[in-house]
Amino acid sequence: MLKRIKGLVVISGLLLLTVESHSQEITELLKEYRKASELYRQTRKDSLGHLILFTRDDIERMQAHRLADLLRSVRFFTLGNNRFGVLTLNEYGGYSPIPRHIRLYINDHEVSSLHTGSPFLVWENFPLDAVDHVEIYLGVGAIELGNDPATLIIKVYTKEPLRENASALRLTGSSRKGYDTVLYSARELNSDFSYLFMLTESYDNRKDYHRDGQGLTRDGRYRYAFFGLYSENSSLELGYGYVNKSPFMGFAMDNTAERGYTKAEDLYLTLTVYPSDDRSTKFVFSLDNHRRKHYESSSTGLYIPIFMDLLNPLNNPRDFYENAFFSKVTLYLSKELSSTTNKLLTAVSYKLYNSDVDSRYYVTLGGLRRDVGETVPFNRQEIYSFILEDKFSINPRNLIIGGVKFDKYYRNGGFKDFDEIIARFGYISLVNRYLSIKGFLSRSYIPPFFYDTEISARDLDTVKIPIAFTFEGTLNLSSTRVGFGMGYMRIKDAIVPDPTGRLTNAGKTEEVKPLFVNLKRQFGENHRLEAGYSLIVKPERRSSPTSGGYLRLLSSVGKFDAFGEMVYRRGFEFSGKRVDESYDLSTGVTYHYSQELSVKIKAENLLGKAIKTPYVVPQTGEVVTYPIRERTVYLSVEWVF
Amino acid sequence: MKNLLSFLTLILLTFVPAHPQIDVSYSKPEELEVKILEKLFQDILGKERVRVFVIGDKKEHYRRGIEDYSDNLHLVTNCGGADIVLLAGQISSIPEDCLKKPLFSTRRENISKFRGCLGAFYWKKGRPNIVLIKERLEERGIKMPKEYRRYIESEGRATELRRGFRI
Repeated sequence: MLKRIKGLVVISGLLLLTVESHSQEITELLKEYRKASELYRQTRKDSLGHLILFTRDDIERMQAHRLADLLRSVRFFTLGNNRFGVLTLNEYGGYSPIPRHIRLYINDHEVSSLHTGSPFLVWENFPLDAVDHVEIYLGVGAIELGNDPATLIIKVYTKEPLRENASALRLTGSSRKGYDTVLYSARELNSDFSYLFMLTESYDNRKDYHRDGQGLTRDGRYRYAFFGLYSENSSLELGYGYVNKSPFMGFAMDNTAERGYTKAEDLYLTLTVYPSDDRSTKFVFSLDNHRRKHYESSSTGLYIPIFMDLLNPLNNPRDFYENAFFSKVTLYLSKELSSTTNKLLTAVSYKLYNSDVDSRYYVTLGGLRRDVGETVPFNRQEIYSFILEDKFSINPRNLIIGGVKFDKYYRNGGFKDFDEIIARFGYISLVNRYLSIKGFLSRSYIPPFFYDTEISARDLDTVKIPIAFTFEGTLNLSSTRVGFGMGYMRIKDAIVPDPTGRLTNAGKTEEVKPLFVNLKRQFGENHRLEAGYSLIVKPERRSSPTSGGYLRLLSSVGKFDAFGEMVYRRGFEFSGKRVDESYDLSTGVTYHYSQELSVKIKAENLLGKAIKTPYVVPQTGEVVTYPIRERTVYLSVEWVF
Repeated sequence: MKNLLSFLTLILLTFVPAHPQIDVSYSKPEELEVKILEKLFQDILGKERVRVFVIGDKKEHYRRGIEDYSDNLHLVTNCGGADIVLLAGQISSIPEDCLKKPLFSTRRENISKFRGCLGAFYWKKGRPNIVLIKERLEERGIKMPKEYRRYIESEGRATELRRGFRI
């Protein structure tokens, strides 16, 4: 019966494969076996929200070497860069320099920044070579993961060593003189243990711009390491990410930080144990250590709202330096109780966050150094959570999910403690052989992160999502699949800049009504066409595109794999400046010389019309725009041994 | 917008029947794994019912699979009574009397380790693979059906692959 429930939870897109006897050809059987064994069939959880899945085949054919390559087409979001040249995802109509509502997981470990909540400073260029598949969940109030609340969850799953038995080396060079070196190995060690090991070094060299004779760069050096040791009932994973990048605009009044850098290092260790053979009990212990160093200087001054002196401009900052450490300890224990029709998950978790500012100072335009240290006394928080979620199978084709998560925050420095509840009710149904539907009714919240309180010097409240309703349907018609959905979400007390630029809780409530439709059509075995369009109905904000779509073709012919992707985003107006609609075209071809060696070529922003992110120049109020990447061609060689 | 909404509603109403009629069957990877082994063994040996002896560090997994999902494969407890020996996972040595029997492995490495190993059904780069060694099949006078043509390799190539320097 447990399997029955699982079967429904993992509604694997109405998989209509039945096991036939050996009258089938061996090739057919092998294909079917491969399909049925796909790792995502074990990891995907429809109960977490509305899923966008990139399988291993998709990732390989799309030559998605960086995590960011997959995010371009995500519905309801537009890819952007913030003033520091760091990736962000702006929700349709919104402008989120730091997307604190997005959570990134590598396997089951959350790697989002402990400082800002956004995962992208360190992990945006995480190479996908050792990754099997990526699951993106759109949905408010996913409870089961027990981590920080989110509206978009990206789950990256690494390859399963027992199925790899291989090592690989990839070298990539770009037309902008950037490079990637990725080495990984995934093998069985002995009958009890297997391992995955990855080491990478890359230089992301992007086009430099010039403003008033000054250079504007956002090049970055990235290093990643990953080591995982796996046995049947436990796993130990170590992850490391490093970035050293130029500051792009930084806080500069004239939008060009003349000197500076952002260096960040994230290190984590996570131990997962299933003490019983049925894996019903799960224990997780993890440690995260993040370090962030930032320096920038601009002769015209820096616009850092809390340090501004309106009366005497000479007191305004010219140089800014900070060196800060963050840590997190997580303990999680869950127990799943299964009966004939129920699967009840109970869990408790404890998280301890620490922020330690080693040094933070600025030098004024008048030449005085001001040590500011921690701008607020709040630097430690503990979160106790209790989770209860039940999946009730009415019959094998209909499932109800109900869950609550209670979060109790204890924060120091006299900052207020939070009591928050995430609640969710969901219904998943295989209506008939053609149609499956899924709907969720949730309430949730997004907490402020250390960065938010530091930069605003305010005891910010949580962002509340008092109600969110989302619905999705999927129609399966032989080789065509049509997906459609809609939602309604209310957001209260969003954390937004006030007129001076300091973050504050907006007093008003915003309503968002998303709508989407997409289509997947398989032509034979080797070709697939995908298309999608999404929009926000009557958007209240229009600071970024409010609708967009994509068209993608994935193809395999003989020894060649090819892909083409066009991402469209609607034009918009930002502070009086018109930003044109965008057409971001990427395409690539892979040639498999042999099973071990392949050569790949890929081009992105081919038309030179990719979406541009607008930025206000604080000094003049003027708006300037830059795309995330200019036209770039990549050449890669991959050797499997 | 209204049109789109009414279109979606129409789709919903059209396809929601009063009682769902069709049951969805999910194929289990474990079951398919055994079905593939069953077919391979039947075609190698040219017989319907096959007696299998399983050894190796993964033997429990395969024994369980065969017991649960195969009507035509029968587990035996020694090589003497077996038609074929399945080398399941890692294995350091095999009993003397097994060496005379046709061997088949779930690891590619065992092909070069054991001369009598006819082939393997294994995972590599996230994909299941089958390989059968031409010379070894011929030695035993085994003629495989045409559908296996793409899985048959010569011994030389198999060893080269093992070293991994074939570019």
